[in-house]
Amino acid sequence: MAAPTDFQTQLFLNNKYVDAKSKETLSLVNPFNGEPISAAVQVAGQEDIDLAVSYAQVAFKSGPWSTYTGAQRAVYLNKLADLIDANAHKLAALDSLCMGAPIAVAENFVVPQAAVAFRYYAGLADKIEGDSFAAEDGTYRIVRHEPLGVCAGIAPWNVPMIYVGWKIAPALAAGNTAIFKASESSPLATLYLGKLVIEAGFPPGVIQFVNGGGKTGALLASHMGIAKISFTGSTSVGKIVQKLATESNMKKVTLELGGKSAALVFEDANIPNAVAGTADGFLLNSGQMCLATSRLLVQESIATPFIEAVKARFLEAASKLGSDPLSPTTTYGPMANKAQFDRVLSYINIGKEGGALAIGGASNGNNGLFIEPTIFVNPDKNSRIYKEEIFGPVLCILTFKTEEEALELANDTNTGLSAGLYTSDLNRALRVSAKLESGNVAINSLHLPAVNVPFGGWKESGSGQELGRYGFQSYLKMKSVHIK
Amino acid sequence: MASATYETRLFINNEYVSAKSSETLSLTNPFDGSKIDAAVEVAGEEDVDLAVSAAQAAFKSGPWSTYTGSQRAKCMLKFADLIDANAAKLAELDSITMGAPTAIGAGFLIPAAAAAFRYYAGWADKIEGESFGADDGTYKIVRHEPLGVCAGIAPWNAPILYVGWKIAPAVAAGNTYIFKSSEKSPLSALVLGNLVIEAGFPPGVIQFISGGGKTGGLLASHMNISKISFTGSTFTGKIVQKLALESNMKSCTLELGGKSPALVFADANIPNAVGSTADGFLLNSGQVCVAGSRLFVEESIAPAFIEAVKERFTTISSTLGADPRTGTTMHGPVADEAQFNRVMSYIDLGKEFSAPVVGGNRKGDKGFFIEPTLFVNPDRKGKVFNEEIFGPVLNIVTFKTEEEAIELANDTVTGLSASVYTSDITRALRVSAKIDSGNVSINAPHFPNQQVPFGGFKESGNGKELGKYGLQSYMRTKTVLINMKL
Repeated sequence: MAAPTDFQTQLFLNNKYVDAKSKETLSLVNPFNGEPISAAVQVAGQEDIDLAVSYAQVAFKSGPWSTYTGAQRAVYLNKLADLIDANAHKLAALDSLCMGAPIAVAENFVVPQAAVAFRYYAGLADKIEGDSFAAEDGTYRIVRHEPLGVCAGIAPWNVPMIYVGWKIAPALAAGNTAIFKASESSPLATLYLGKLVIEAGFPPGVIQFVNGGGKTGALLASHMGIAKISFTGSTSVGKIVQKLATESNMKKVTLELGGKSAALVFEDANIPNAVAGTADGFLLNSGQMCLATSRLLVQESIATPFIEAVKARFLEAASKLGSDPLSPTTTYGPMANKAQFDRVLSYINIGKEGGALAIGGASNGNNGLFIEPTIFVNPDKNSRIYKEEIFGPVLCILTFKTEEEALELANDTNTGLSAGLYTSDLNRALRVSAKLESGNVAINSLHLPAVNVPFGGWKESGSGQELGRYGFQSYLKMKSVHIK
Repeated sequence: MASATYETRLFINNEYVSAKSSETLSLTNPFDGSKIDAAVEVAGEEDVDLAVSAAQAAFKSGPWSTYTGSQRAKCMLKFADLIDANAAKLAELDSITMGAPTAIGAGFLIPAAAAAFRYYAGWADKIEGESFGADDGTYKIVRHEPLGVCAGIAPWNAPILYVGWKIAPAVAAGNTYIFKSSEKSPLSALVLGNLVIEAGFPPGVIQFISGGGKTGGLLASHMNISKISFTGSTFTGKIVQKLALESNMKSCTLELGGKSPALVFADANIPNAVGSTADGFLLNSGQVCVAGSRLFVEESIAPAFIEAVKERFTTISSTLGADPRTGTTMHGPVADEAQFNRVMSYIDLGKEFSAPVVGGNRKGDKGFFIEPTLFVNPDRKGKVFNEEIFGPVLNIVTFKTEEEAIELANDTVTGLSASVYTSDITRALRVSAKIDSGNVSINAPHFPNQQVPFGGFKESGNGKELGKYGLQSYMRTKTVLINMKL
């Protein structure tokens, strides 16, 4: 299909598209063909962020939104969900254009997940349950759950529209107002949502979209008028966000950071299923997923054929490289931007020096930022390719003999986002999932977050949870009222 | 009035079908006693069996059994919108059968049913069980599962409201439902069949049947119904419970009668208290289970308060007689001749002890209108003071102290609702804690709120509707213990 050409490029503040006061703009490039995208997306500077925050504060404290019941908020959230679904193709195309995701995946899975999140949280808006305790000791106590105020979200470029749902929906269901910054690499779909926000009927200042990179993000993280920031991205930037949040006004922080997750395949696993999960599943979004199981640990007794099967899947994917992400039959896209492309290649080169390259290992074609699905078998466990998140189609495979060894290998990381485990033994599944040091474990499939259970990383993979009821709680604060 | 066509058949498996039984209901319009030209078909044993099989198939193996919570929610939200869109039509059908003003029906009661569908749609994908780790060698999971085929029996006083309160939590939880409206007001529920189809519910998920006590008895004793939810009189409720128990021990929720107290303390906001205990009491002509029909007023303010209540009753009485279908009518007749006779016989009993200070007579000579009636200091052992009348008949008694008020309030076998009027927060919290009632309102008449459970203490009921508890009442838990020592 032809690339979309009508873009929003301004900021979306107080239900209007307005020019930023800062003069800076973003340069966007189509990673499929290296061509610049003719959208001079305006960057929000200090004045712009200050404006956004004051609009959001007014909307929260005294605008119509502050008088709505939960059931009323739910009506708007459900309406926006319907509008997102109705505009899925347009939104998916805008993301695809910016960061190279195959449009079929964006349109049929990623964008609809945002609508799913809005519907899920709409259902919680009128179910904010506090507590009450009788006055056995002479004091009647009530615990109120109250919204925080102005909440900010900073999203990465890898599945842009999902974060709109994950960060804005729970915030609004709880009664907050939201300021959302998409990644500087992929701002276009998010910006388009401004129209849908108006159409859904949200009062001004309830949902706002700002653009920019690290500088804009830092303005949000350090703003004295923002009550909470939710950041998804790299661990190193996450730590900066936390620091800025603490040093400014100790705003609440939720971090969803990187992972170097392990998938454990035991000899009694359903092999075709395990291959699908650990090979095809790993290559979803060209490996650019925080929860990617980029360390594949295979039990020795089945390792040889298993590794061959994984290689075959990688070669199959590689044979399809090079097609336009905007084409509905494309299944595998390029890296999202040049910086990521360079990064992944440099890891590959480090890995090559270690000598464990099995397949892949090169960029593909002259057009665009495609990298071949790449496998390193038995790399050095101290090497950077084994320890650090690459965020690309680069898989490390190790073998293990015993369950204990598998667990030790799996847990030997300062990350803890996701884990996969493949076995047909129920007790092993429950036992091993209990021992994996990871916030999320998938048994016998690729791990994909579900809206009704919390998603969050352990160790340096994050702090706090999104999704489910716990994610909702993170947008509320408790007040205890003691009545004598 | 031109004769209209009414749906009179049963709604089974997403189709309107003729009942196999040949019994029909006769309906009259309480506004003028005219007969309604609708021979509503009564569901007999074969019909109920058919409905139950359809509901079972839908629950066990039909598409509904494969739906996720969010898929169920989608049907429910659509149904809510359709109820709202059809509110005027539904209100009119209720009005002609049981006399409720369409302004109240379309403006309040029917939208509340839609709101219940929206509220419970939000629960459908949030059915949360529990899990406990295997520190003792056993991994524990508690599943929350639907019950199966559930049945609801509704009274005539707010017909569509119960469609929301009973069906919404049940289907959110994944059950299927058979709903029987009251034999006095069956027309509105039957219209909902088309909306069920339009909302996308698969066949057998929601079904509507009509009939009286016999049909209700068939539901209460059916071996393949897993739960019955009954709202109505305490007398009938006990029969339902017995039939449920003696058949298959099906789960039983009862929302029964009340003789609820309203306590007005001297420091109450008086205009608010008068509005609530007088106008509020006369909502639906007093035909509300939560009606505060025993009004206790602190002695020091009683004379003026009683005068104020009299004045409200007199004013409202003067408006009586208008067609409930007119948008400005706020008070209608009582539901039918049987109700009229019942309420009047209580009034006559009351008169034997003392004259009412206002009201006490039929209003006009057309239709079943009864004057708002006030007895002050009635016979405390008498039926008028102790038994639920379910009409516009209010008792006032005075009290000196808070302790006396609480004792008076609790001196009843009922425990559905209570209201307390005071500006002293500590008193409000203290008294509400001591009243033996499942639902207490402070500074307003009690009307159930869908976010929180609604259910009576003592002989006012068993179990809860509404809120999260209402959802749980349509589920059962299954504990799964996994031996991890293998």
